Amino acid sequence: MVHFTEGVLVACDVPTKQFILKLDADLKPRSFVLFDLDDNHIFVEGWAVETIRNNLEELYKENHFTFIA
Amino acid sequence: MDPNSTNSTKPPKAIIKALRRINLLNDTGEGLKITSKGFQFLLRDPYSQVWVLLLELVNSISNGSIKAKREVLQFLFEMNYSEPGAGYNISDLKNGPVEAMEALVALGLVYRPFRNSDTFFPTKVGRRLVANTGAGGRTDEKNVSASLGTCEIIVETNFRLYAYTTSKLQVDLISMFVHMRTRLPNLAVGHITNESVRMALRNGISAEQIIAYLNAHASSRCRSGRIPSNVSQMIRLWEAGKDRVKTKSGVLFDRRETEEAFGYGSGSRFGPRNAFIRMCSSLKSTRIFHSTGGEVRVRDGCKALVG
Repeated sequence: MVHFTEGVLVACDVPTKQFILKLDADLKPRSFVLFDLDDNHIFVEGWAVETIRNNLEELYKENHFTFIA
Repeated sequence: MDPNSTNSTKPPKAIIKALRRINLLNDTGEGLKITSKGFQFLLRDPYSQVWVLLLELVNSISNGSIKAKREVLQFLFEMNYSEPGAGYNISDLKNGPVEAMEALVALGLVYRPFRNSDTFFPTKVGRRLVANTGAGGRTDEKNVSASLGTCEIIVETNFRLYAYTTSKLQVDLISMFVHMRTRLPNLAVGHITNESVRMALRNGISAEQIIAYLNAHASSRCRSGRIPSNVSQMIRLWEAGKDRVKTKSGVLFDRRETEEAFGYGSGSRFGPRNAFIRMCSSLKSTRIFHSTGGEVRVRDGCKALVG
């Protein structure tokens, strides 16, 4: 019949999407990517949103630099 | 009420109840906690804050009868014309203001020498409540602000911030989004950092509010009267960096499999007149995304096809 998949559509820019794909590969047994739609969109499982946001937050913290004189 | 005092007397119960009703405070398991709406409320100018609380308190008296509300508003307008320092008799007032008197005293609009006294004195804030129109009129604001805690802020292009104020409340307010380094009796020095702004954003304050607050308190020594544009741009960029990813939950409908199942396209046995087939074949993408809820309609459409 008609095939429906429930999940979450994630809209982001190209580097963030690559980061999400890498994250998915790292979490191999528990991978969450359902469909890779195009350069800016990806369809993931519902529970993965928290994980994605936490990992993005950590990536940001690793890469930003605060200079306090 | 001296804003410089660190006296921690609890506010009257009526005010706390009103704050909870308008969602500025939340009742969590461990007691009352401020909400993100509450943070936004804190950044507004004092008159807006008083008006919000006043409207809520007035709504709750007399079970919200229109007559009582009208009488209270009339009383507020009358206060505008009262003589400074003069006392008036409570018995002269109508019912509405008499019932609201406790709320007015709690907000500091009216002063009574002791509870249930017969005379009341409109305070400076009460008298100017209706006259002052928020952020306009900086000279007016300076007169009243002296009793509410003045705050002059200078923001440098290297993101340093100097707040000339003696009021503890103002310093605490600024430290919500600024990383404080030094505190002197009349000056507080800090940095606007990525971390501090992100903390504020996480608490529900928007970048526009932070910028508006800093601009409103910009010192008269700043040439353009506003914070440097690189600072305001950076705050907006930090806010944008928070939303790199937009999520929307829903359902993915794979058209290809449906195509195989129903065999539409040329030689379809359902005919081109069916609306559902027309919709499917007109869509260029192979995958269609519906927000949750749309799937019911698609499913119904398919069921109708199958018969």
